Amino acid sequence: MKKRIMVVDDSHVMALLLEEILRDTEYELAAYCRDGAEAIERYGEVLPDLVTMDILMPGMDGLEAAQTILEEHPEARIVMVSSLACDDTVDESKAIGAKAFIYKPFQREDILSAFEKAMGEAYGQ
Amino acid sequence: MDMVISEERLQSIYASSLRLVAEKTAGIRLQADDSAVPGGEVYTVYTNFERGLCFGVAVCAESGLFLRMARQTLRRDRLDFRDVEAFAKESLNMLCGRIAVTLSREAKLSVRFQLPAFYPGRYQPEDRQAGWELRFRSDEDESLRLIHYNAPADGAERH
Repeated sequence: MKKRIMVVDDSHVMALLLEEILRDTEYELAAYCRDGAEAIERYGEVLPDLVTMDILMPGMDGLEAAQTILEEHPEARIVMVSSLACDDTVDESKAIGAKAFIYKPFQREDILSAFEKAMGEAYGQ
Repeated sequence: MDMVISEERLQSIYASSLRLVAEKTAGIRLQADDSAVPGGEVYTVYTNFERGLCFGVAVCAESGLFLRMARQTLRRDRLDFRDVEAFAKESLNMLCGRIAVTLSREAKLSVRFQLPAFYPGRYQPEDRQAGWELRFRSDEDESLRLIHYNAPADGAERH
């Protein structure tokens, strides 16, 4: 059974891109959310195996959304995906419990490697 | 703009960041070419940097270049205008992210930028003056301008 991914990004092209990257892998796109508030609302309904979370989004940003999801669902596996990979942002992502940080622009291997790391950590490997 | 970092260094950061985004996302190589001027149908994407340093950045390029980048990145031949617009904004987002990260490391500044806006045609922000621009030509002879806009002279936007 494929692992289900929820993509949170204000740009729908990221969902298109991840859908393409995940084709013929052990992962599949299960849901797409346009902002942090929608991700919080839908997380419990979708219960994905992994979330990719953008940081710069209109309204609630990705760090706040990830923190809220992790407070409500401590088992959530969240990978931050952002072009704004400043040291303080990466540190804050780690501090709130994100499993990995992917820098945009990324390539297929960056995504799959981060997903593997996040899933492995989640299962205590 | 604030003279925390030299104009020459900023131009170098812009150029290397742009080349990295074009090549890593779409496999498109851009060469500096002062004679490159986008013609025909063009699109512009624009954003403002804020906090630490205040300036504007625009990418103005032939629509065909944006379309080709989007197709090659997403590996889809069929894309609608919305897809190309979203891709263009995302490309500027990635470019500015790279610029912000480099500035934060080199100038020790916490820099942020606004969500990019897309404009069919050329765009001139009302409250800014073009400071300088870099011109590039793609491997398929498409032209692109990367434009730096200075903050208002009175520095009113400085945070």
